[in-house]
Amino acid sequence: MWIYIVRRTLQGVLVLCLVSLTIFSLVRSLPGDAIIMQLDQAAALSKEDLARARQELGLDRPFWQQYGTWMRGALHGDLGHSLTSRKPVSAELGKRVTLTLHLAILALCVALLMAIPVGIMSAVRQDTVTDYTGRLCAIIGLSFPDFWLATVIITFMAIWWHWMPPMGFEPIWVDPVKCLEQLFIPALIIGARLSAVLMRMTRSALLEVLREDYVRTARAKLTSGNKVSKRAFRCYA
Amino acid sequence: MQRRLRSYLYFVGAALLGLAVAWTPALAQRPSSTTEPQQPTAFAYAAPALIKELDTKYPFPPPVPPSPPRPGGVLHIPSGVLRSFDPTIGWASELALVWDTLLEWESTWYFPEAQTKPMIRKSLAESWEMVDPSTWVFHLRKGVKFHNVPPVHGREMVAEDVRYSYELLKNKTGYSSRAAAIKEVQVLDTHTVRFHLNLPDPNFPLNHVNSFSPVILPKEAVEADGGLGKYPIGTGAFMLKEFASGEGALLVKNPDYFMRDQEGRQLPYIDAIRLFFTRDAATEAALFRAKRVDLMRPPTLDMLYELLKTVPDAWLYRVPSLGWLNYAVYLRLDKAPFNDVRVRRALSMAINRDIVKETINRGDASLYGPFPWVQAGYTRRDDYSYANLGPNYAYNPAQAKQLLAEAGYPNGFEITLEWGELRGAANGDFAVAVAKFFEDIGVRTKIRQVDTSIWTAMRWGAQPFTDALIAFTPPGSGPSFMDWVYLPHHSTSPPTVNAPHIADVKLDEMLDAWRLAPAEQQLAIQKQLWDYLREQVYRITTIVPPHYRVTQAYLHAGGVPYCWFTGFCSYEGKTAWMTDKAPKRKFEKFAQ
Repeated sequence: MWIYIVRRTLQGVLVLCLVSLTIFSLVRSLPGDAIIMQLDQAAALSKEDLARARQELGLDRPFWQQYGTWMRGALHGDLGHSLTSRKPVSAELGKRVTLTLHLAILALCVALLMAIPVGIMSAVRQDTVTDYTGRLCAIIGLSFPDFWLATVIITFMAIWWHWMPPMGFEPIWVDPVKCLEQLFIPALIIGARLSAVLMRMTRSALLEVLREDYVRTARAKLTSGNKVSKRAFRCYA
Repeated sequence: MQRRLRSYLYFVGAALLGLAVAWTPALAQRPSSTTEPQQPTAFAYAAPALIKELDTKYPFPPPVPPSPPRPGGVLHIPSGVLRSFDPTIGWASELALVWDTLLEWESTWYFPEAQTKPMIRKSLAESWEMVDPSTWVFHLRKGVKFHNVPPVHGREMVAEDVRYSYELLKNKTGYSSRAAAIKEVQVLDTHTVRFHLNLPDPNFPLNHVNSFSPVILPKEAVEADGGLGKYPIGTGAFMLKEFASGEGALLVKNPDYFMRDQEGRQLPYIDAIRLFFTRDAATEAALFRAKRVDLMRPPTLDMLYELLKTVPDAWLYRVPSLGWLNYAVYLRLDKAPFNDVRVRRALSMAINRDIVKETINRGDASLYGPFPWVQAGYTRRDDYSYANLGPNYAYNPAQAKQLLAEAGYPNGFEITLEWGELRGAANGDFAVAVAKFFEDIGVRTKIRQVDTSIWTAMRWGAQPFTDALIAFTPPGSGPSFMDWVYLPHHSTSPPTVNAPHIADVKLDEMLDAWRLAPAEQQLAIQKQLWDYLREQVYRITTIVPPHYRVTQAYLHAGGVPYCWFTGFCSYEGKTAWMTDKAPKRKFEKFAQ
């Protein structure tokens, strides 16, 4: 057991090193220049300006030195400074992780709230208008890309209702109402796609349970179809 | 089974009915018969009529904003993404809200008449005198205080701060080109400095008015732990309260700001400015419609039309551009065949500028010459004509082919035309149009798109381009002839300003004569330069669309309704005010 753990840990370290090296190389081999992008408003910049900026950030040094410096810092818990904002990467990362977590949890809530009731209704009322509508919605949800849906929602909300969610981000523990107001639309857009997948999964799984022998037996014994469905859903859950 | 089939049919029936309901209005708008002449779509058809309507409804110059201004309110402005808010890291026009320069352009500079005789507004400098063309003495305004926050605590700005800032920014991105004109700054007393210049310049104050000129910084804040990133302290009208990386910034009013309006009222009028870092015009338009931002600059007539349709009470400022975002082609003048003036003329004559106008902005654009019209003395819009540009700018493919044959290229040649995306510019469309025109005279053109950062580097001469590059000519600050013409054409200018490598002895002599001439003689020399440059066609310029700026009905932009860049015209932020119809906004923090 211990050998296995040690082996996997060592493999993990190796993978992390390779991944970091690959990303480090890719970023530097892509077309473009972080320094010029950062200075893109400075119409009066000169070659000396660029060289100075590169020197300040250590970008004039050989690749392996840059990687070594970064890796040494990372092992000591220092991820360095952002090439563009010049702020500590850990602080930049922390802010984005918080926002991402908020968005992910909210999107999941939205997806579950939409998918489970629709999935159940679709399964229980299989091959009815309700089922077709639910399935159609799921296909639409799967077909529309998120970015397209987001553009359409933002544009049409602004045109029809002259409304857009407030800008900025407030964590939920600071101001829950404001947080929900800011993130509801993005969560809805991300959740819509997720809900389509979940709805189809819920429907097919519940249909499978509903077709089991014990459900058929229960249906024969019990007068209320709802009771059977509820018990079947418990089995599915 | 029957029940299933019935349900299915109900569903299909309902879906078909829904489609029919949605489709009927669309069908109603289609032409009824193909034999009748087909009506153009409402949108394409609207462009000429819309331009005419805009000319009438939103005249130029626009009316003076009402008075007296109402203090208070929070102004919301969209902005490009700023990576930092620190002059020691990089220049950004928005920095002018927090940090002042010694001089600014007078607010009315956008009027064509004012551009021929630009006026200087005294900002931190109160007066100046020339000792000799290489030595200037500046007297600083007394009583100007830095923001009243630690570690500076609102102390007075003095001459030593000017010397320190010029020395510091001499080596900093963006400011270095301007600061490089100054050899040394001497402190004479607490409110007087002496500038020693590298080159004699009898019009130094006029040539030094520029938002690239060094801003004045307090040493304590720069050298404190965390620097200006942590202590963004200046003398400006606003204090940076919060910088939300990637999202925006919140700036609040500086209660001790030294500047007052003409009636003696304290500036700025508004309590705060919230900058939103937006990444595209569509987002800005959505924010504008939802009244989340108070002004925006639609990049095209199409977007302007859509915006005015959905926000009918918005106010539009539509003024001809001095030259910003003109559509031009740079050529590698340091190699054949572009070092032959006949080839350059041929390429310029190959372009139908009327079609370029239509392609780029549905016809709403002006012709553009070697530099801004007004700097050659053309102040009326009627003057912006082919007649005043000369034959090299008129579409003449036959003549172009003949010139190529005379230059030794009867069968044309091959070139690579590079371009990059730029927000608000239709560079791709322009590249395709230019390539088509070049092909028509036998110049086989390979279009190559490059990453924006590479294109930017090419445009500024930090990286060479292959043969030809789609780019706008170097922009100047305000009506500065030094920026627009002298620096981009002088052979001694670095490639970052003179990217096409223009090296013409005669041109240098004319430019030097301009620099050393008394102000009253300069306009005549500028006209000579216009005539010379339109013959040489060092940069193939074509057209320039007008500036559109749309503001909410409740916003009055104070004395400067013509500014497009927050920083180039920081006075706009200082003098803007909002009526009581403006949304009530808090400004404790950036997040709303």
